[in-house]
Amino acid sequence: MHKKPKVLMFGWELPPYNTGGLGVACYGMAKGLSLQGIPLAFALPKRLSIHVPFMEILSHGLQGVEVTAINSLLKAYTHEESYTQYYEEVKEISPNYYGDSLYDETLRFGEMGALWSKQQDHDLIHTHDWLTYQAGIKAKAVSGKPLIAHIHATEYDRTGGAVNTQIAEIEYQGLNQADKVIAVSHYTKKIVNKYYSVPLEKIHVVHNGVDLVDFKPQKIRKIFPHDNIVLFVGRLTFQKGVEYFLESAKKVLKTNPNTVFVIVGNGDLYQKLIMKAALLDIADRVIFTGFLQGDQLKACYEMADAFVMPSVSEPYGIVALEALAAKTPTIISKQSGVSESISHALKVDFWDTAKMAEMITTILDYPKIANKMASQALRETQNLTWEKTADKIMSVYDMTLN
Amino acid sequence: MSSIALYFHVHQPFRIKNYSFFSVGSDSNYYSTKSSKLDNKKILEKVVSKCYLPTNKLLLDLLKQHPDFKVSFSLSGLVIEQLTQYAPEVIDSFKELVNTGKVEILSETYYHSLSSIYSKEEFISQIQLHRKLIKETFAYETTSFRNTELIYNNEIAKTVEDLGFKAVVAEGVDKYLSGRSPNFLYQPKDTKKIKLLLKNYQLSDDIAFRFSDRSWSQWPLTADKFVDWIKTVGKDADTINLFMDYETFGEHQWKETGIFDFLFEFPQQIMQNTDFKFLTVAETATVYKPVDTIDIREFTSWSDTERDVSAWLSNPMQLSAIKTLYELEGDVLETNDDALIQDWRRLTTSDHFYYMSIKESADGQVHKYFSPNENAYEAFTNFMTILHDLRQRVYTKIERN
Repeated sequence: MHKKPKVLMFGWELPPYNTGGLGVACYGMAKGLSLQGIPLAFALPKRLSIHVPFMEILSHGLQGVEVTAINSLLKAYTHEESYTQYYEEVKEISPNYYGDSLYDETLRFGEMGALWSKQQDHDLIHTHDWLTYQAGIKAKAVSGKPLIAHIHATEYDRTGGAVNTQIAEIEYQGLNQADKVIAVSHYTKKIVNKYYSVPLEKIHVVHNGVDLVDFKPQKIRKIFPHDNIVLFVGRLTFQKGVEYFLESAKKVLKTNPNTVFVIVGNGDLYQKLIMKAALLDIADRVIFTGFLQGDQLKACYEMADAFVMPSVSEPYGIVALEALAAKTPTIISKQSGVSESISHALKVDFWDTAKMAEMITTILDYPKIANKMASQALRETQNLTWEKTADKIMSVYDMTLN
Repeated sequence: MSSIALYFHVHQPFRIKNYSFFSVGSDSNYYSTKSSKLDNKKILEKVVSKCYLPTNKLLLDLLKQHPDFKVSFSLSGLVIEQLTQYAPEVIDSFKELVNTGKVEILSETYYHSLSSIYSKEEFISQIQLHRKLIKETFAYETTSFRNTELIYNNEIAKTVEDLGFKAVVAEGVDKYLSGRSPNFLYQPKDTKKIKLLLKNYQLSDDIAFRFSDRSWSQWPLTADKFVDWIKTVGKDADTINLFMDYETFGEHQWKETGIFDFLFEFPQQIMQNTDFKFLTVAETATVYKPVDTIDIREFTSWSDTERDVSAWLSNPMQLSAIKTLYELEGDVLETNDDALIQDWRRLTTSDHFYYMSIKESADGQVHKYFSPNENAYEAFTNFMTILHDLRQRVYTKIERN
């Protein structure tokens, strides 16, 4: 590439303050791009003190990347109900500032994003998922620079078709007004083409990566030395298919009673899932840890004998790569993008809990074969670095600008 | 002649702390000492100063001034343990009460458990442990029995009769009285000797629950008024049984409500202006004869509007937690490991299951008031994670043996 383009990026959140995979992906990409020498300015929504004008520079440990928080009540994975609740909590303190509905707030955040973009010298705009698409569209209207809409998950994935039409409309606008679309998988590319009428030639697939850290499996496990551990990691929402995990667990326990199912994550279905485990009469074999990250999450990947990602519709599925990077034998839903990148994992339809249970049992009963599969998958993940992801993104930048 | 049986229940559970998944296998201390809302020591010290010490003193004065005044108590093993550890002066003041010779102590399960529903063997073990503790602490031999939260049915009456108890107390549930009065002794079905005393829930709850309720048409409740009600009810009664939590005085009903003045005045007015006597539970059972047999097959209790066991055992979380707990019983006892057995038994305490209730309405508010947890789901996951650690300890121990 000739001259390195200056990039404006809009995202939802960044670790360590993330609640889901999008933050992890944005961090990985920003880091990868920055290592390649791309000057990057990153903006995300965050509620700021009323004394702050409208934005604030955040320190984020991302070298070469300036991260700016724009004052907003938007939170990652928010929805109408949770937004309204949040709005009611703060409206006394900050009257007439934030939008009184989720939709209005995304528009307002868009205006603020455009305002911010005016102060930034840039060659192109790169925006991630619907929450910040408005900001991308408005920044483009101001500067006339090309817009790239990155899609990590659509409203169809999150809801299984019962879409919030306002959100789907924002997605439609963002995807169609963008000069290029980056989809995290071919799986997602098809959805974007089918439901949002974006021409295939405009959509470029760039798979996510994973940070390979040194996973050192513990020789003697302190937690549950007498039991197998089967792990789920993800937000507890419809999209992630946790209910299918519980139904499979019920079946596995019939043949492998010494098994513990660990569910890491938080979300709207938390209470419902606890009740479901109790109703299935397997609550003594299911542990809900709540949201974990960092070393604690890593420890979970390390201790697991099997990892399951039962998503109903998963554009990518970084958690599966994280599990594989810890050399954990993994079962992934066929309805996922990550299954395009990994061949050494067991693949199952999310709804086929009998098959899912059978696969879990096989992994637990034949650890040698399972570990061999995991070693080979580990080698596959070694090729899936964020640097490679950044390379591919840069070639999309190149195509866009030339 | 008619009489009044005043009986108070004293109990504090060992509340469990917020227990993380990562503690499984490395932290076998399940009870909270530091974090503010869960701190057992702090909670106990608060109840000691607000209720136990002032109420004991008040009752001691009454007992000393009035030869005819009598009162009955039960203290769970857990509250005795905690008082011995954190506030031994309260144990001394209970001893003073017992030493007046006019105070009866009743037996119950040491761990304030639901074992009467889940395991007869454990139920009997916990009663024996409690008897032993009462004997060691107060040099007192019990003859009457109260079960956790007044949980009762025919079967329980038979079991405790076999253990030699002469009297048992229960809630006066209308459904089983079918028109009869709670103010007489009854003979539990299929028993020979043991007598059943039924709580007069109207008059008891006027004090325990409604005393400070300003929306109650009878508020404020004065000693005069209450004694008038007793006289009216007493026209056709052998015994009026006023049973309640001891924490009613100063803790559930704050000092500012006038509850202490009430407790000091109403017995004196009874003794000065009426023919009523005060009797202990055991004396009541000796003085009167049962008027009828009573057949109570399902479990009754003094909790919630249903007065059954749904406060602890109705939703799937409660049922799976208790099932998991009692499935471990055999293995735990087999380890012969005292610490392990004690931890398991402390988890049998009914309060843990009460915190897992998801009942709406007024009862739900009461559950919330007593719960140290954010919500029922948190109480449940916390309890279950601790059970995982306990199960792991049991396996490790059995493996070694």
